[in-house]
Amino acid sequence: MNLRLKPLIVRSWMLDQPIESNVHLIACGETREAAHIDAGTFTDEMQQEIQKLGLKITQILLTHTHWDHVEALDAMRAAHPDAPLVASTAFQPDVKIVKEGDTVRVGNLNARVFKTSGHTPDSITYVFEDRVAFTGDALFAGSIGGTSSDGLRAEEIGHIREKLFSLPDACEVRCGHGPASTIGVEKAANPFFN
Amino acid sequence: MTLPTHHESLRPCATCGDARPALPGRAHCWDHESDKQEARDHLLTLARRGGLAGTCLVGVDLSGINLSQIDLRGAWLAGAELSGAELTGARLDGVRAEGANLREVKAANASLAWALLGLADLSGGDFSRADFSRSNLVGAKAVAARFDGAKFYYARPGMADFTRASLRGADLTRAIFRRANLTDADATGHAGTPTLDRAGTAGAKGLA
Repeated sequence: MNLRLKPLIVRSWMLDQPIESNVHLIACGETREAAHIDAGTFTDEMQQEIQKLGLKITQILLTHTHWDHVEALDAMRAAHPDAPLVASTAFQPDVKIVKEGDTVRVGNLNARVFKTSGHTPDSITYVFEDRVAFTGDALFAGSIGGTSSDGLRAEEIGHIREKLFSLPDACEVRCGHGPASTIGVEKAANPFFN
Repeated sequence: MTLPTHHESLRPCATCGDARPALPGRAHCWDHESDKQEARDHLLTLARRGGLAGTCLVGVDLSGINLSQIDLRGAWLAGAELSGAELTGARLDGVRAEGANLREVKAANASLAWALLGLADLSGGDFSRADFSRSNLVGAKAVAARFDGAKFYYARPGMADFTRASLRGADLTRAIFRRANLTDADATGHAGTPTLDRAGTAGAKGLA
């Protein structure tokens, strides 16, 4: 398993119909700094949980910019006006751009950024401490993100196989839709790779 | 549904350090517990007090013990040995139990929504009327398991083995059985339309 036990906190809010996209939060257990991952919704329940845990949102990280992942971005940014918006594309004027190989820091936690395009050209995955990967719509439990051509599907599969499947088996996968998984489960039994 | 992480507040095992977390209220991980019977008794006591929700129980052996109605929500049970355990009505929503052994468990009416059960073995178990809504069953083995009246709304049983499983009257709405093996399964009277993309359905009843 080889965990590095830096204290981290993760919450995922799984939305019901009609959107059914997930919004995640990761926080450093030492500094209480936190980041939202994606912004499909922003509810009172989420804000109460952040308060209860004593967290400060210092960044908003986007895996990609499809509407169902940014629908509540304005509300989220209004609630956390000092939190920079991080994405791989300049879809708004003040976006902090990240690319493959960059590191995002949340408190004492480090995330590696991987390009996992295919579903969209701007799809990226954030991997925190090799323990939790936020894959957006690139990799799901038992599936992969929808693509508009065979070439894009091959591109997406290539990114997942070469990058995400080199992570530890115990690394948890938090997806843009549906339940969580692990790298080990997806490597062994995702129908798109077996 | 809010899903917590499965590794908050972890303490390293006193023997293997960061390689594995210690069990709740103990100094060691399961592998390094010197008195496993005492550790089992300790965990059972904690369970009865409702103290196992969200805890790390990786690799524990709780086979055959009575955990009916127990709250294990969000617990980390990867690789756990639970075969033959009594889990009737247990609350297992959001557990992370990849690769766990749940063979022959009695888990009727258990709640397993959002559970991560990829590569777990549920064969021969009784999961009648259990709730597997939005669970991850990727690559799970559920040979001859009983799921009568269970809910699989938007569950992900891709490449799972449901050979001879009983799914009579189950709610299969939006469940994704991509490349699953449903040979000789019985889904008579099921509700909803599952995805059966390249699933094996030879001899199955109630599945088009």
